Amino acid sequence: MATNTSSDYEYGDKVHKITVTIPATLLARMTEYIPARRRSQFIVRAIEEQLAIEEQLAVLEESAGAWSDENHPDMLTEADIDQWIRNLRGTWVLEDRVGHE
Amino acid sequence: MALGCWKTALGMSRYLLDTGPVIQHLRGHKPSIQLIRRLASGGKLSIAAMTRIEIRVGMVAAEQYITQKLLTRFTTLMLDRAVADRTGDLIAAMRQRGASIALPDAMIAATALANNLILVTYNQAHFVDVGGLSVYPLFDSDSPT
Repeated sequence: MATNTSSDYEYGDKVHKITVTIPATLLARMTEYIPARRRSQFIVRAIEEQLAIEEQLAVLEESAGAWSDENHPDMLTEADIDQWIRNLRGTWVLEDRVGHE
Repeated sequence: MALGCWKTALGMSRYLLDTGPVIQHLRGHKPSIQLIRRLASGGKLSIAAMTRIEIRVGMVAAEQYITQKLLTRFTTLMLDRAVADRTGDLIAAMRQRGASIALPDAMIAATALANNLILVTYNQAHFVDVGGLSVYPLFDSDSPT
């Protein structure tokens, strides 16, 4: 019977019990430092963190080169991109002016 | 400075991407693609709110879906009270020294400082006078120029 509630994991949905295989030495390391009542939460957090990395790597793969030459004639070279950023940020430069309030 | 991918307790990497590397990635610059992928393998990367603004300025409508999808996967660090205070103090200190810094540069530097992150930028010269700021040591193969 599942005894944890969804609020233990900061999720609004139901929880499921699953069976996974884990190396004995890794399990021993976890049980040494993580109290039994916190192990599910610890594993959920570990999965969340690794999934976030995998999801980020996937979207990085998908988005690499997504901005085309046709759509960005002002960003054809690395120097163009640097200049584009400089131009944009240059509009924000704060200059001291005599007599300003 | 060590080059490893340090991680915080929340699984976030210790890197804040400046706008340049993100645009270079989107434009298909291979060294930037490889650099960001390498950093991302150690944890979620962060961008400052200003970088998110600049990317949105640069994208065109046809690229909105994939661009927004990429931005969503980064942790966007907001301009909160700590960042605002750091930004103001940084600009004031530089002006006292007779130097100037663009407000976006100051906000991005302050975001890195306030969150104890290492800034990944191709414009290191613009941040060299910012005291206490850690800047990722790019190799020649990482740099676009």
